[in-house]
Amino acid sequence: MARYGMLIDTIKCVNCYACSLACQTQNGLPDDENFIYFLEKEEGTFPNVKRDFLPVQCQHCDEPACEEVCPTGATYKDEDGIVVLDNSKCIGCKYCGVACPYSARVQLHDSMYKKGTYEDAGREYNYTVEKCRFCKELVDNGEQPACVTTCISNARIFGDLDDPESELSKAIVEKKAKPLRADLGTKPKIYYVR
Amino acid sequence: MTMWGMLIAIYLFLAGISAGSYITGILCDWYVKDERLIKLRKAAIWLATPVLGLGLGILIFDAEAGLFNPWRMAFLFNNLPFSMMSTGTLIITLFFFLLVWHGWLEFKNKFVPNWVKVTGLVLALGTAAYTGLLIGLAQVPFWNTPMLPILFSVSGVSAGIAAAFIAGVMWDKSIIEFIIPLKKVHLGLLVFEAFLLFSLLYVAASRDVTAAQSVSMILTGELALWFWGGLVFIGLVIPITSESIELIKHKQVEPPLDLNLQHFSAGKGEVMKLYFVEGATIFGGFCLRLIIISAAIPINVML
Ligand code: SF4
Ligand code: SF4
Ligand code: SF4
Repeated sequence: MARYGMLIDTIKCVNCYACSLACQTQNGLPDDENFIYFLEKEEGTFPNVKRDFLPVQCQHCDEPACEEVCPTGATYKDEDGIVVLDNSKCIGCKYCGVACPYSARVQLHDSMYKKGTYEDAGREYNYTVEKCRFCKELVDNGEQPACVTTCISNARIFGDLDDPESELSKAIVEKKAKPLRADLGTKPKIYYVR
Repeated sequence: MTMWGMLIAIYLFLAGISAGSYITGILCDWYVKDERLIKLRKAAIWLATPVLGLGLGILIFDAEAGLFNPWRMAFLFNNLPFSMMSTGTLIITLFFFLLVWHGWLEFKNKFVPNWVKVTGLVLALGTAAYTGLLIGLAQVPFWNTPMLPILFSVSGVSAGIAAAFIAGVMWDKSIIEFIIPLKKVHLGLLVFEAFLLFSLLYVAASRDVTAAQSVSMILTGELALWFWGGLVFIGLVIPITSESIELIKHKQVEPPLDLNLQHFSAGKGEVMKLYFVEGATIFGGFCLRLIIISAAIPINVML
């Protein structure tokens, strides 16, 4: 049992979109659908402009708003704290998508995804309302999520938040990383350095 | 706009109308207590059934993953009572069965036990409230005001009364003369609705930056025409003015000595006016839901 989380260092991030491409490949997503989206904000006036660039995906909340509202129990938190989705239960009501404060859910349908990738694994995107699953299939095998291994500037660290010795836990303390909008009360597990 | 669009707006609208129409039927029985309104009562209760059925159909149609895998709908009640979707669908389903049964009793002219009416009333109020709570509990700043569920309930009942009036008068024009007590209730609801609407906008605008953006989208932005034209003018100003004028006039006119003689049996103009005014109320109810759903802006997570 672990409590998986992630750190995203937006100061190291070079906006190359490599993570979202890797994620698309890993999850068999079509070109125009993503589990990671990017927010951008400019602060201050020239020449002291601070650009805030933020890759956002499912924050794997400890108290997920999406799980709370999901009528079918399709969305649930597994024993490692990863918020996952049981496609065979999801009715596509999109309540999770409306309830998620991080706009992290995407509705996919058959004609959109690259066939073959996930049919074999029994995951069918037939109008189910999908999300980042922390690459559970890789993590369960002891590997790292695709976006983490792909990141060209090592801006992403994945690990166990319950283990104070993990690279992740140490980096969070050292870089004073904070979750996005902790005030919303869902206890997100992705920490951002900004 | 969030992931929910037009179809959910229509669904919430139909569920509200159905609940309101049923409540009108009960009001005929318990509040007005006028034997001459039997046809209105029956029409109101019958109308509620297909309208709710249509709403449920649209909900299922919008949940595509369930539509194409119908057995998954069995999981819908898995998260009782925490998910409003589970709880609400349960309420609506029970309400639907009750409507079918009550409608059948009315059709057969059988005695309707009081507990059926009480249960029906509770389920109707539950349905109306649920339409507001469903979206009110989602994490969208503009939706998180305490007024929203009340506004949706009141507007649902008001649109339901309007729909029941139309259905009743289509069946029998003469009921026009006897619905004055209900029109008073209706007018009260419309005024309350206007009050709730503006206090909702005020509270939303002052409580959160994102919600304030939603409000300006409604008042001056891309939804302004729907709001000022559809909701405020057609849906509130027209019915409120017209019903007020009518109630004032009614007070001035001495009631005919023997109502049963039907001295002034409703003329064509009277009927057309009712269709128009009540139709306007219904249209306003739809605009309200469309506006509230469309004005939703997700939380700003960059703060
Ligand atoms: S970020 Fe959204 S989708 Fe992910 S766990 Fe939290 S509420 Fe659910
Ligand atoms: S769309 Fe699927 S996962 Fe989301 S709330 Fe509905 S049933 Fe649950
Ligand atoms: S953890 Fe996996 S699923 Fe989630 S964003 Fe990264 S690559 Fe995509």
